[in-house]
Amino acid sequence: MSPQLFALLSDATLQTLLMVGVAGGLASLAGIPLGLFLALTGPGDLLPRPMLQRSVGLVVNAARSTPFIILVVAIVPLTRAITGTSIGTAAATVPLTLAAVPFIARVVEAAVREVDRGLVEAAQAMGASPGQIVAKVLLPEARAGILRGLTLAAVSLVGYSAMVGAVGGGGLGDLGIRYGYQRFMPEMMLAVVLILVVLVQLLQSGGEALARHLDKRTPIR
Amino acid sequence: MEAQSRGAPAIRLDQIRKSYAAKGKGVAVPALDGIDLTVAAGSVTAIVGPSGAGKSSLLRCVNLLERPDSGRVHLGDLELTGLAPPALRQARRSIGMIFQHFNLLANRTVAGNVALALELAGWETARIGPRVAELLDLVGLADKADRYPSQLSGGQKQRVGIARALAPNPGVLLCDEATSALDPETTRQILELLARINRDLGLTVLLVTHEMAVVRQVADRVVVLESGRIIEDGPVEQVFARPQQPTTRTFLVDETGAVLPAEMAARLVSAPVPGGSTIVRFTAAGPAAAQPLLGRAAAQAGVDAMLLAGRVQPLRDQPFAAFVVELTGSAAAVDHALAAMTAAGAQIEVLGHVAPALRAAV
Repeated sequence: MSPQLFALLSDATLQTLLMVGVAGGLASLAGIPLGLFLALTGPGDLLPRPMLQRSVGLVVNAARSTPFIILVVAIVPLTRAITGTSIGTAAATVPLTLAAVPFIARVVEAAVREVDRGLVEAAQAMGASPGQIVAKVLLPEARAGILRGLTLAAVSLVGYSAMVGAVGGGGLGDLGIRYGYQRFMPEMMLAVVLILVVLVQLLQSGGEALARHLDKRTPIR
Repeated sequence: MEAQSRGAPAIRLDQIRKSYAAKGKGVAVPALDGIDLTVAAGSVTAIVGPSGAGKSSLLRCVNLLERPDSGRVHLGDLELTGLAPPALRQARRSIGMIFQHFNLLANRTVAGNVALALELAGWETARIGPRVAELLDLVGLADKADRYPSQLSGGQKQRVGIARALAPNPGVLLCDEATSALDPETTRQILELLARINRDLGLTVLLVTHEMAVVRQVADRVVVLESGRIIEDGPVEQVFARPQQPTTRTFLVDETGAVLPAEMAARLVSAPVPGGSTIVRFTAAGPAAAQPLLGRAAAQAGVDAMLLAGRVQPLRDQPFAAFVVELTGSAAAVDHALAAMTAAGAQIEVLGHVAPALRAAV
């Protein structure tokens, strides 16, 4: 493989990492609080606001059911307003973030709901306020589950980031489409796929290792 | 709460009512049906009853984990039911609670779990460490401070639960089936610890259990609950010796072992049979149980006494005897023997009579 092609690959890999990192980070900032909100405000939960919770849940579901490629096109005006352009790595980060927020919200909600209700009761019996219950019981006990959910989100983002290549988003997907497919360079396509496979493997095993380290529920060692 | 003197009411429940909506139907099922209960400071009170009687609901009403539909809950002079949430949280710090399934945080160490109670109560960080060490010492887990709950046995987990509950110096300890997930030997050790805490710290203990063995080992007073009402209430010795309600009796018979063998129960008749014998259940508590009252009474009255079932076991450091016996002799002699046993302090319950031929067949 020529040095030029190698440079293309390494640039594209960095772009993909940047898109996944920035979109994942921003989406976590919004998605974790949103997931907590969903887990705390349902009927019979710690701070019940059933009507509001249902409405937010509906929006989250609607966002999740919109196909990603449609979302990318549908929010072009928003993307342009934020980044000044609708093509390239920065522009692709906007729909990636928006798609990841509801996903992360649901996995965080699931992880928080997994925490034994008895722990919440024990904390209440000790005079804990709802804020203390969240900070000292729910989040620490759900941390391994949340981390596994975030790993899942990051892996999905790698896939989605390849999809934004189809609409000029930059990154490995873009490279694969333009060189591997449109210019008939199967070796480029293969290299792109291999890098994506390795990336996903690293994310998954790294996330799982960290989650295991944080999870003290069952003694493994 | 620390200022409470022994015997003053630590907890007072007035007319507590609570009902739950029945599944599938709109009707509310009463779980607690007008409970009045006063618990003296420094006492160990056991709430017992069949499952579904409302025991746990009642206990959880004390710290308002469950809010009664009506009625008042007092802790000392404080009416908990009238408090706003922040004041209630403050008050809950003087009520410790332990649970059947321990409810420890899996991601905190033993020391971290005990520290949690103090963090929640707003203790300064510098004071938390020494207090945690003190409590782990009290429950005998000083060497396990850095372990995680998943590395502990059930009994050790409950010790952590006790240390956590006691950390902020509560005046009251609520135990919700605290030994029901433990084996008998571990149960005995945990109950010993609770008794020691009650004795040494003057803590008021209110516990819920379905095991009469727990009552026998630690409680001063037993409250029997059935269908959301208190059906019997009194000192443990009194309730064990003279249970008034059939539910209490059923509960006790399993624990005391004074059960009439089934094949003999089938042959019982209510009227005396000439030449037959009389079947009697007797109980005796304290000094009365420490003397050979059956043997003496039988010898004195000239009747034959045969033990059918029962045993002597400790009831709060005192012997407690419960037996089913068969007395054979003339009606007058049997009456004489029973009178002698009553005079010696035994409680007598005549179960019935059996005919001689049938007796031989047993």
